[in-house]
Amino acid sequence: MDPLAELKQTFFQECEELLGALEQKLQALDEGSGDPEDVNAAFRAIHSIKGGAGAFGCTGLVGFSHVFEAALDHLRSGRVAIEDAPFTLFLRCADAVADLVAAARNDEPASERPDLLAALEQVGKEPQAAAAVPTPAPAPEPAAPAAEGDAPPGIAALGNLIAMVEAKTAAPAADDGWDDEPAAATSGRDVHLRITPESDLFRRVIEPRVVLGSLPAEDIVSIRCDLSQVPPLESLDVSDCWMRFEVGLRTELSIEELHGRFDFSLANEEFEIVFPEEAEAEAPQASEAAPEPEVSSAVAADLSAILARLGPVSEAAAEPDIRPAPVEAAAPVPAATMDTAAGRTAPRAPVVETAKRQAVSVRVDLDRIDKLMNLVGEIVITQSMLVECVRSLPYDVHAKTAEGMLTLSRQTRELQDHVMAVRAQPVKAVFQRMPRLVRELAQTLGKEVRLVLEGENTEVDKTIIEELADPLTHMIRNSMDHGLETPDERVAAGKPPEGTIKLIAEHRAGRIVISVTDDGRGIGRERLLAKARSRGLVGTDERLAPEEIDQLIFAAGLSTAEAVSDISGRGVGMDVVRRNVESLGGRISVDSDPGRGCKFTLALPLTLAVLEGMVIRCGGDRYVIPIASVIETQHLAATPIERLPFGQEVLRWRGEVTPLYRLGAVMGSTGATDENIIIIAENERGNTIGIAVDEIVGQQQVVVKSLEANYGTVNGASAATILGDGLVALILDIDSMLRLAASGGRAFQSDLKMAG
Amino acid sequence: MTMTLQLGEKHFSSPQPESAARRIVTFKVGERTFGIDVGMVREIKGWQATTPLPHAAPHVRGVLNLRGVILAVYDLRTAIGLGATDATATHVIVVVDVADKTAGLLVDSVSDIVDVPVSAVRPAPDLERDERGLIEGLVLLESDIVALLDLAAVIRDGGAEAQPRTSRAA
Repeated sequence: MDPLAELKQTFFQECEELLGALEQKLQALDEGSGDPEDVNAAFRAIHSIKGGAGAFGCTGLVGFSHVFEAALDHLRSGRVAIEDAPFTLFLRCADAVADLVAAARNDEPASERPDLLAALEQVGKEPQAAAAVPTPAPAPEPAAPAAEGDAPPGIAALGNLIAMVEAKTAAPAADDGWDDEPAAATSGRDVHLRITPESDLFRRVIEPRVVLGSLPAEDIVSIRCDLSQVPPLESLDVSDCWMRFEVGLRTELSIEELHGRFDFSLANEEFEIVFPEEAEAEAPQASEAAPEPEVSSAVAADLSAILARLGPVSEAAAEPDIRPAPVEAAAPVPAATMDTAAGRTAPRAPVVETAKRQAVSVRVDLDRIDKLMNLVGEIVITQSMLVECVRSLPYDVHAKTAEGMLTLSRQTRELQDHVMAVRAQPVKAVFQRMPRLVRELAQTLGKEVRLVLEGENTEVDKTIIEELADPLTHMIRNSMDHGLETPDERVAAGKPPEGTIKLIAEHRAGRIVISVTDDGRGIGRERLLAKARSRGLVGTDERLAPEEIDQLIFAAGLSTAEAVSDISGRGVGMDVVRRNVESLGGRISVDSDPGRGCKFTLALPLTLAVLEGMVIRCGGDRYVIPIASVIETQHLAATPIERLPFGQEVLRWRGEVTPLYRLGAVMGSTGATDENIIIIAENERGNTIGIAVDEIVGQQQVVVKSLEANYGTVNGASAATILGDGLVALILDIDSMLRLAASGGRAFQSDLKMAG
Repeated sequence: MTMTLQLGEKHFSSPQPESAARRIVTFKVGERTFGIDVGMVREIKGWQATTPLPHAAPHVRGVLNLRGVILAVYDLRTAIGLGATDATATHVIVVVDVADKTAGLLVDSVSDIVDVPVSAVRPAPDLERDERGLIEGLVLLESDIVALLDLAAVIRDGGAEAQPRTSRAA
């Protein structure tokens, strides 16, 4: 792939993570965490997005992010108290940023959000009048504001400085004292730029021409390139940049605007803005300001990392021999220095973050992991094949190899576990998208909804995660549209006006169980039943238990919405969800409590790739039952079997009447069956059943192979696997088997003898 | 006893212009000769035991493992209404690509690969017994008449006795 496109791809991937972090932090703040670290994290996220967007020329995204970032910065600097901040607005802005990222990704035109921009511009406006005026006072001595607040001192100080500069540009009327100097910068005066790019400039896909080109050409008075740093030819690495530039400007641009010009090409420590006429006057303060960040190097990890980066630069500033031009031996004015220093922390943050991430994780193409996983699957099959081969060897040879085989199988299993762990991802990836959905829907529907997420860190195979988004979205939409009442209705029903939807993920019996619970009105059974009757899904004189009526919600073409809305109600809702979920080898069920709410429960396998199975034989065929569904096994002979009046065989198990199914009959096994064993298994709803089989062959990890890929759905089985002898065995699906048993085999029941 | 004949794509990858000739793999079920375009054949392998599927159509012989991929094997003999093949080691499974799926076709033996001019392909005659609409055309060879199979039809509704013939317009 074209390296730039690849970089861009990576940027968008990172954007997704950053957006997730942004939203999460804002959400936490919205819920009242009040943690300045959350503010910082949100700020860093949006800043990183802006930086990347600039590098890739996504102007719409840059513009919006910039304003958003500025608004968040008011919080960071403490100019707007965290408690007073409009997080709802920020969350909507985060959504807008997500839209812009998506637009940029698909090369679509970005939608302008003037409403949000205007709202963002307002942030900090009112408090500014009061707060901005006092703050300039301590500014020249950054140490003073550093001591206040619980933010790490260096950062707080720097944040304040940014705020001041911004306050100045935003409200020139409030200027006094120190603030007048930058104001003067707007009247076309001499500015000296010292550009000292780091040696990795080219590797960041930036070249000096681009850097200089970002300045208005008509303002440039002089450019001097300093090549004194270029190393001798023999030690010169052409990919390093050793050029230094001195640029004289006569410009009307403010410091901030000048900074903006370099925002995407240079880190803030790579250039310096100097006003020659004030250079000497303010020198003492500047030299104090410069080393200041080093003092704070003991703060939180990433901050110290940021400051660690700042440290050397500050030292560099103090070392005359690195300085190319002797003219500026005196340190720059505070205005410039402080602005530079203030800007430093933020723009460097993404770099530090990247560095940190590289240390702990590697970004791997999912395709590669899939290949790895397939290969491991093949090894598992080969290994079980070997085990069977070895078993048939003469004893003395067998004994020698057996130990090795044992080790091999242990290692194979370990390998498999590790590969699975690589693929495992917290459901957070999907859950994260839901708050936005809820927010947007709540607005559309005019309902007040609180979304509670639990168990976001529950890990599931990546393949499952990807498939979860649609069903979950649908379920939440359903709950919001049909389940929850409007605030008025809720109040009338004696409930709080704000509805609650809980989205919970947990591991249970080798499955991941995800539930969506709302405290709304529950399923309107009468209406549902009437509708089902009118569509002929239920006979007019058929009596259904309330629970059975609830299950009708999954029937195709049924919607209880009185009016078809944009959100749901087209009748393609829950039946699609059910089909999606079932195609993943999962189940969905619903429990409704009229007037009090409704709960949808999804149960999915943890992975689509491997499962622990019990291999059983029935007649001439072997099957695999997922261990997770097996409760216990017992001998058929020792179990009294009774018959219900209508013929169903049952057994008593732990005092319960449990239906018994003969696997050979249900699955149409070949050959004569001779049932010896009863396997007590559990279906999705937690009901137990007995399955009579001939023999338990063993227990092993099996690689799940799709039957749908080359054939189609097989009743009674969720998938197939390959056993050690290379033959295929079906993986039984208890629920599907029960339905098969209930239907009595239906079509294509044939007496044809199928060779095994 | 699994003899695998790999028909690597390199042998047949040159696209045959429709006007020139069709390269056809012919195989036998009993005395009948059938054929399919060579491009659809992925490989030919000896009979291998399959795992039956519960309540599948009669011509669905079962599933087998082809190097880690599970595919269904269809009994052509059953599909054309001659009952089930009593498979032995001499029987052959023709692995074919149909639409986006891979399937196996159980036949008695593979006979030949022949190049026939497109003009030699006749449309399937509207016979009383056209093997239940499974035939796409006929090729007249000197010694034989080859029935070109509509594989998708074989797999979809082969052997479904109840399948009305008229349902296939093409």
